[in-house]
Amino acid sequence: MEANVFNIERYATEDGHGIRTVVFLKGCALRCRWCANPESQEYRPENLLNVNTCINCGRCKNVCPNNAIWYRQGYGYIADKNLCKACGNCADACFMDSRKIMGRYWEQEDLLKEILKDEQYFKMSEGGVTFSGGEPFYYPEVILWVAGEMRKRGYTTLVETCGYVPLENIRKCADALDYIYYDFKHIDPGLHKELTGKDNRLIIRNLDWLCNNFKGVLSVRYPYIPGCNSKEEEIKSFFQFIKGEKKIAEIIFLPYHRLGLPKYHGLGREYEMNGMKSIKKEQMNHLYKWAEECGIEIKIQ
Amino acid sequence: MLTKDESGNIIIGETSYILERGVIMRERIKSLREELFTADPRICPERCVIFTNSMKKSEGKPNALRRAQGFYEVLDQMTIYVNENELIVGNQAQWPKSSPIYPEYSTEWLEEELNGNPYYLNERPGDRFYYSEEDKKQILNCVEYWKGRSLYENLRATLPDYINRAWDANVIDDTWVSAAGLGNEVVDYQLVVEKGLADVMERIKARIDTLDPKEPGNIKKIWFLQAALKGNEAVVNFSGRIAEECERQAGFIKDKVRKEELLKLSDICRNVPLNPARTFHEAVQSIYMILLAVHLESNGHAISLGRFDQYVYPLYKKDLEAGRITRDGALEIIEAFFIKCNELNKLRSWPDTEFFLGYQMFINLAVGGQTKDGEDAINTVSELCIEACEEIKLFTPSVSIKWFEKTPDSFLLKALNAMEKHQGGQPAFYNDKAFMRTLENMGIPEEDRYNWVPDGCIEASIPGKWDFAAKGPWLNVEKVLEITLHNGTDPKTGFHFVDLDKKIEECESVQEIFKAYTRVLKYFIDLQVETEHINDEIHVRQDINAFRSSLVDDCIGRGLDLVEGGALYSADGGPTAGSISAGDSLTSIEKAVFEDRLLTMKELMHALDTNFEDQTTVPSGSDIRAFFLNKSPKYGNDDERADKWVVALEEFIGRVYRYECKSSKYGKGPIPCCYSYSQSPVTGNIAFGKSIGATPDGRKSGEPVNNGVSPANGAEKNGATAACNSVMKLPTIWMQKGAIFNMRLAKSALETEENKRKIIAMIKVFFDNYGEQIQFNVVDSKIYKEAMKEPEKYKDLMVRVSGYSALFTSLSPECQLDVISRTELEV
Repeated sequence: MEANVFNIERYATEDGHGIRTVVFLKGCALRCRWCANPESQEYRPENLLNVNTCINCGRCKNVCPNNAIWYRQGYGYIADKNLCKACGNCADACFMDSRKIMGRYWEQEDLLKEILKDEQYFKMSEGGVTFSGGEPFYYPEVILWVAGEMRKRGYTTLVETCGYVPLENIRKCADALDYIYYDFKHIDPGLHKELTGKDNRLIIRNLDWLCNNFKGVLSVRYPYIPGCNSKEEEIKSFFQFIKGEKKIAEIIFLPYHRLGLPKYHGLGREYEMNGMKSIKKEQMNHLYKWAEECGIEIKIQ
Repeated sequence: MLTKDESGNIIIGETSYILERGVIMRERIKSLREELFTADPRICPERCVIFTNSMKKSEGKPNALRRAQGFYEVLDQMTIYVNENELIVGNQAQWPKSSPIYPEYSTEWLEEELNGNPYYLNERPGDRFYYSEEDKKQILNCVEYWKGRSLYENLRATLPDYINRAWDANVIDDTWVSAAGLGNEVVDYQLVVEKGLADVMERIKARIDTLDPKEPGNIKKIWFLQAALKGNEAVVNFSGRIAEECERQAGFIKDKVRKEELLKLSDICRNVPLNPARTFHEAVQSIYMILLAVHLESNGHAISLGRFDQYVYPLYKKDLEAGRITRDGALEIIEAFFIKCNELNKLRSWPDTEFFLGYQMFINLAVGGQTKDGEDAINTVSELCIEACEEIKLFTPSVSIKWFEKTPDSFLLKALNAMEKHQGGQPAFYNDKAFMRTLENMGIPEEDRYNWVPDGCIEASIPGKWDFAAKGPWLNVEKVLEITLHNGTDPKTGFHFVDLDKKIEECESVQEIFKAYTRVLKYFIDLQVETEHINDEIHVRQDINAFRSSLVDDCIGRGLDLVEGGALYSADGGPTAGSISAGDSLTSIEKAVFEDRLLTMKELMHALDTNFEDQTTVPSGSDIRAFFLNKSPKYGNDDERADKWVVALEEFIGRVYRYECKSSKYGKGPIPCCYSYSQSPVTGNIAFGKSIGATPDGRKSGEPVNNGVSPANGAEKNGATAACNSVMKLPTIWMQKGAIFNMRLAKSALETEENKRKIIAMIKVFFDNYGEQIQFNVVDSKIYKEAMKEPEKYKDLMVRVSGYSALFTSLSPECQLDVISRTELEV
């Protein structure tokens, strides 16, 4: 089995217990306005330009067999996603290393080998692998196999999911997982659809299933996006809902950041959040009070 | 509830504490620390004048006796000061942080620099020293006598032309141990604390009595032993003078508490270092006196303190049980001692300074590690040293944690917490497992291996039994590659060194180039060894330092100075710089020329010779450089394609030093008398880089080479564990003198205890795989940049450059930029 991987990050400290390697899998059904990994959304490989290091030499344009790359005012040498076949000639030719094909199909055995490069660190810190994305649950077989291999060796597996997948996919590999980080973006189905392209009914159903069936540690993570899901009644309704669910180990709020911006540009896309600034943890302290009023405990990461 | 006095200071017991930056600091310590920062580094002519006058009078006599007499007169006549609030007393020069002058080692540069060439001492780009016209006059006066007599000048005049050429081309450099005294030494402090110098003097006398002067060879031994006795008397006399000064001040001081303190100090200084220390305070004072004396006898640097926590702990325990001391009281003494260690200073020539920027004395202090029985050696004093390091945030002594399998995580956590607050990379972490393996390979007996300590930056020594943990010429490894690529000729000086069998341009594989490279390396390693044999002979003739030798086993028994082979253990070798850059260069050649076939060797050489600036070629010079920097794999990313070349290079260098080189003491008593090397270039990577043209790792002409065994600046792209995995591949078994791994961490990597535990796990994996040392820099670039703009505001901002910490503002702008450009790993 294989999976489309667009990034592997080692010694990730913010993605679970112990020292972890994060494998980013490509493809997601949601289109959250604030998504920090726009290159993760499409299922197929994409051509991403690092605008900040590109020196506009144009070599990429010259070597492209599909004439997919040309200079676009305000962006630079962007690849047209309809013409680009992700052959990678342009990336090889770029001496500045400014261009990358995001997404490469990895055989699960190779992926495991790559993950196990940090095996000693997992052992020493009770760490393991974290699958992120994109939406990892689109690759349940690969996750199931890798997680099994990890467990055999005494290491853990964590999946970060947006929850918008057929339940069957989750069901397939849930028993092999030790942790799930479950994103929750908005309590209102209509607004959820407006912000992410899909409503939240499937997400809520899946979460409900996990609460009743998942044997590992389940955390719910709420990306706090000012102006999108930050109103008092929005958050308090979320609190009321989540209070009814059992087995949730922790609720974590993640502050909005705009670090994804250059990647939108590099894909030739608009960034919908425009000028909104990244926010600091300290700007979210009122959430503790709201949580207390609703009788639940939260963390801000 | 805390009690506070009128000025808002916290009162605990009878002591007033000041709350500063979240740390409670005793008022006394705060003021001592402030004094240190207000003092300007100066040069002090006293030692120079007294010593020179003494040497003028003793011409013709044996060197050992002359130097001992000079040493005695210096300690007998130099100014003594005891400053307000001091708990540990004694001084190296007339003022704190002033450097005595040692004209017997070299004169040319001293005269030149006092006359402004290349810089006046007080106008240098880094490490400035101030002085009055009168100071200058006195020193220049002495210099006249030493012209033609000094050690460095004699060495350069004696070396064959082919060595002087290699030195002038900056391939090897022996300035540090010829234009100054030999250092990197840990004398037997435990002996001094437990038995006092009285014991040493008795043994010297007894040894003299056994030597029949009619037996051949004994006369020289007797001279040495007489010199050693004189040296010990000098130190006892010196301590007595300090005792007198304390008494004198006690006579007129009004403050009752201080009067009593001074009387107590006077009593302490009369008892130690002559006799065994009776209390913890006496032990620490005794150690400081020895530290001062060794520095005043010769100006070799890296006179380290060894396992301080182990040899003072019995006295702490005794005092505690007798109710004579509290934990806080002991901390105060340790902090006062640390501050006093920062009063020592050393003037180096400007070229030598460029290798050691940051007013470095390299006084290393080790804590932790194991006992003789393999148990955890951590005690309260170990903890206090960490706390002192955290509270007073100074760069001397460098506090080092010795780690072994049983070191508890809680102690590492304490050290990481201290490091986070210290902001200067201290404490650093050292691995028993790695160094003990190396020492075993060198034949050091098991009963001594556990007791190894990092000396100076990182060089492994056995306290009281090893002569010089590092000594010998530096080797500019990337320069040797440049010479190889230019078919044995240095493009800068035009000197031709080695004939190669085949022209580099005609090589058909990178393996062939590597073979040629190792041949040229061997040529220069041989020159290193030859240089040091000659340097040793000159030291034997004119640099006998009998006092410090008498504190190292078995100089008294053998009747030999350290330089003559008096110590039990000895191995030569100095730092190398640039082997990571050179490894990356080989990777680039492999990829660009032999794999991707982007260039021919000839085209590659053209790009280097034009410093990547010829834009008329295809690909252009700047494209070629971008390819080298960005497309060629780099060491530090757990990428075998790059790591393999660094490993091959280190294997070659390490084995040659270990098995094919002998030091001049071979067969004279010490073992093993082979060579070894370090990867602790301090700022030598910058100094050496200046003489190297553009290289295939993408370095432009004159830029620094890599630092220690850390990946080259900007090369780390796969995160901290990948960097560790690369470093772990190095054959540290050959590196008795240590390999510095400098990792910069984003603040967030240390923010929570959970994240700190991840770092601890990482350190343990690294050490389990024989990594020798790891140290961290935890400051963001923004602060450094601000400090460059407004140095006044950041007077105490520190940075760990390589095996040591320095005040950031004391570094040259060039070196500051190097610090900033190190990849900040967002772990």
